Amino acid sequence: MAKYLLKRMAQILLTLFVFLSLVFFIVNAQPGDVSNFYALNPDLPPETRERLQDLFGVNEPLWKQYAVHVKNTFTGNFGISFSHYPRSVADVIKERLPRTLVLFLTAAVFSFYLGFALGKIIAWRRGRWVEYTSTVGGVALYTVFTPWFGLMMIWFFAFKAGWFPIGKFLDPVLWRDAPVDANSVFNRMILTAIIVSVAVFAVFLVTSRKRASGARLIRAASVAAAILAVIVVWLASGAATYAWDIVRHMALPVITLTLISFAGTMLLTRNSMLETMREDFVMAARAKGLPERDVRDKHVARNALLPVVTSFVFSLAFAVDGGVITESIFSWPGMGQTLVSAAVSEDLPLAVGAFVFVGIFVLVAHLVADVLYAYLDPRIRY
Amino acid sequence: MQLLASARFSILALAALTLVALAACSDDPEPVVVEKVVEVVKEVPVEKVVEVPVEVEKVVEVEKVVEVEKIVEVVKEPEPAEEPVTTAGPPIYQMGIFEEPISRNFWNYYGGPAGSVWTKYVLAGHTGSMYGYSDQRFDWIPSLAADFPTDLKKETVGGGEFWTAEVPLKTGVTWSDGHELDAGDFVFTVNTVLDLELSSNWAAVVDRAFLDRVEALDSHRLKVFFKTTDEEGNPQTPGLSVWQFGLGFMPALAEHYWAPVIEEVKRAGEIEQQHEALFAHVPDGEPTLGGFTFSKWEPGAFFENDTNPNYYGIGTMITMYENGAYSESNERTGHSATYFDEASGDKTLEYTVGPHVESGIFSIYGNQDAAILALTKGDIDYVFNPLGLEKGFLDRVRSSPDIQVVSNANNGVRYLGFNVRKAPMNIKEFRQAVATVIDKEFVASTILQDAAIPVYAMVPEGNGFWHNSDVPKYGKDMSRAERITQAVDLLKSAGFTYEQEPELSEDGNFVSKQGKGLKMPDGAPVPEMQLLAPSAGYDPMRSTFAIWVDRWLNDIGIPVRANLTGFNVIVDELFSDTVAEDLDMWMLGWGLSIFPDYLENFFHSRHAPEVGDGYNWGGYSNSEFDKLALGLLSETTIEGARDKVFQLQEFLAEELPYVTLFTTPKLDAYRSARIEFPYTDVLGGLEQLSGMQHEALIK
Repeated sequence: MAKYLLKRMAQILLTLFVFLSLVFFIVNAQPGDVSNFYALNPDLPPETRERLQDLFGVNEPLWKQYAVHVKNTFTGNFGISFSHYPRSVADVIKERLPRTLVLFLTAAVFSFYLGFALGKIIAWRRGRWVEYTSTVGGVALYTVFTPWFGLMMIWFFAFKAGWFPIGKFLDPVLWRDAPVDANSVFNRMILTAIIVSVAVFAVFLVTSRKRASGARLIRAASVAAAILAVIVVWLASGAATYAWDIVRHMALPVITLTLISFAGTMLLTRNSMLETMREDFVMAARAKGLPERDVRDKHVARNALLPVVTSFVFSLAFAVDGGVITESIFSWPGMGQTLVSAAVSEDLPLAVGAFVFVGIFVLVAHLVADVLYAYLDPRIRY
Repeated sequence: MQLLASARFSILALAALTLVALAACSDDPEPVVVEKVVEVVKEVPVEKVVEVPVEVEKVVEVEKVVEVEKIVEVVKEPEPAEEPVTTAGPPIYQMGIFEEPISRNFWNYYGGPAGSVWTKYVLAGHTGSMYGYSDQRFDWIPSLAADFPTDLKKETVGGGEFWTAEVPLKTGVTWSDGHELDAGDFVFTVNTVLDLELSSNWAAVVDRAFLDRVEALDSHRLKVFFKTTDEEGNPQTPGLSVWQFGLGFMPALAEHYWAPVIEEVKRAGEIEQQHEALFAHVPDGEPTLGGFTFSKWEPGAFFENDTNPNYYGIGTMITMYENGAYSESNERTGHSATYFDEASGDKTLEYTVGPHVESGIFSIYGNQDAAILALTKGDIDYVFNPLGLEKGFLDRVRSSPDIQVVSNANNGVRYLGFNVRKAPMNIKEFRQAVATVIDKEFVASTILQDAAIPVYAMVPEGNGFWHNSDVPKYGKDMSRAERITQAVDLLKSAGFTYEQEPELSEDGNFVSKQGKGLKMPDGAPVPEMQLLAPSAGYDPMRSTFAIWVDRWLNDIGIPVRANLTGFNVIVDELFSDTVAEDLDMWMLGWGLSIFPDYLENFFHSRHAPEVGDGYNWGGYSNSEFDKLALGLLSETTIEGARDKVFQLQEFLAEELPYVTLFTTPKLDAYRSARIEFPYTDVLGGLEQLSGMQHEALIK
């Protein structure tokens, strides 16, 4: 395993180098540079453009810029953002990443559970009405034109029905006197989610050897206790109102993202389940007289999980990229929106930095998925 | 059972969805919208100084503010039973923007990479200058100055000869932290710009070629020293653009706050490092002079300014009169002044300066759709858009009785430029033939449905005081047949010959046979030329014009191919080292300032890329024009400048280094059920006045 991991690490480094070279040259292939945005203002002295090019170093030869880029990336320095001058790229990413993570990880988890649950059901009820409606509905949502769907969701549920806020991630009037800033609340939310997940996972792990009825009770109690603890801690921190405001603003984009993406997991689970259902051990389980639900959840679904989890891990990795369209439509200032505005405003360091950052996450996610394979399927050994 | 269960679930889900749909669709009754187009034509007082701030922005084609010539109001009449919804809550002026401001460091905004239009909006209420512009008419008036400056006079001081002028400052004006403003603040600001060699907008208001220094005669008197000769020893005079509309508009920054910072900055190393250190400074607690001070910035979400309770202008009653008089009085400070004429007769405007709000919040939206929905729903009161409200959103906002849409003239122009270094573009008659054959009215009215307004002079009609309406107008009011005939005649008069002249259809409405084999006066065939124009994705109007220009020029045998491409591709071409050889024709636009010194910037031969830096990409060179343009820069009287500007416009309309094409009206939407402005008819619209934050009144 250690040898395999070392080999994979070397591959990752090589892939990362190729990736960041490609990103650099593709982004630089755009005509013009950031100074173009200052070029056509007759009130500005003509030397303004050259001053800016000097300041940003965009008038240096491309090979020199590339050498600086490679050196900076491997030393963890993505440079200064042109469009957020004088902030560093790392600083901008640090600010935007938690917002994207909170939104997209939540949506990914919801989408995964919904997709996995529905996938199990429709595989078990193959040929029935529920399969057709779920498949057609899911595929329709999966293939819908996202900007249109997002706008329709806002128009219908936020504007017409008034159930949700129109875009953004907070209410400025509430936050104008807030003692905390939004990012600290986002970071606390992420921390809360991590602690609760680890705690619940630990409880599930500990109770896995217990009798089913007892385990179920302990698990339910631990989940309830975790929720209660979260509420108490947040109320005591004085930031509960602000966290709730973010959750309120998150609801519509999360619903939209879940609706758009659950079908992928659902169809993958269905296909994987259908393949597993043909296995001999399923027939053996039925022959033993096990209840259908146990056969489905404990024997088939457990073994059908492998490709679904892999897909989920990749989707988590891509969550750091955010959704260019979703974030723009819902005015959610995360990594996706940052990428778009960086590209449009020719903020090359930020665009390249954001791409490389996502690339690193995806490569690491691949490694994690490989390791998970071995954990989930004992037949796999490296 | 399972099927039944799933069917029951589906039926219940469907029923729930139906209920949701019904609930959401139970909309308010649509108001009856009656649109009334009211044209208000205003006389421009010729004897007045009518100019606007030469505000500098990085966003291209953001047009500027000028005298309003024509206002089209869209009046909506809601159903009588429908009560306008007034949003309750604290008196906060809520505005929507689409991009994040870059910095709140004013040095960075005005002289660094933070000079975006979005930064301008949020910092607009922070600063003050010696002189400013009056509302609507844009008369040049004292702002922090107590009166107009003394006339420029030549004076020998310390062995050197200078043009000098003195400026008295208002007394009792304080920064937001209560510290009194004095002459030292202006001297400090000028010295910082000069010492740190700041560029961009700072260089535009502090012209090093002219300004020698500024001195404080006492705590409230300034003396300005301009050089009398240029670097080569030629005599020079600081004209209007250098002094009155240059240095006079320089924003002052607080010496007591910035002086220690600047000292630290100067120790940062080379000038580039000093700039980086200055722009990187986070101005926490910086005192401001305007009606607002910084309150909070939640990146990606909102930017908030609180009212500055020490703002000297609060409570000032502004009155403007039909006879051109401007009057201001403030009971709180005891300040009172009247300019230009006796304050009597009919009033054209009267209002009290604010801020009338507790704070101004700029909410950041990811796109215009969401911002317009928020405006319609009542979350915000006004939406900024540097290019004005898009036509596509008009119907949506018109359906709300709580929203008012105003349309104003714009001070910008889209044009077709020629590389006059190359044949045949170097032949005047060729350019005139091209201008003749372009039917601007047809494209603007028939194709673009009046979304564009044809323009013939380099100073648009909206800039009333400086616009010359008597320039030559090639092709205006001609039929297609007349255009073709005249264009062919112009070409032939210059020595061009055809193998086959264009033929018109019987009704004369179109060319039935295109001209072929067009040869230049030297007998060489006219080469195929490229017209670079923005693609429809960037500007559908210019791309439409380019397609029609391509067609009409080919009709008369001029082989032109419109290349619709990205904005950056065109800009790159214009700034390339090979522009003189590679460029043929291009189509772009300018957002213009009120004082039209840009005429020199665009067309003087010294601004051609092969000679020096500048915007004369077409390489236009005419000694007579050059002399006149330089004369404009050194002109010190308004009347003299106006005369020269008129001559320059006539010159350009005859010579046609540019064929001016069109301008566009500027649309603004605001929540009239909650917010009120003392006026909305202003050139460039509410956006150009940064949403009128000092004037907005919450109902």
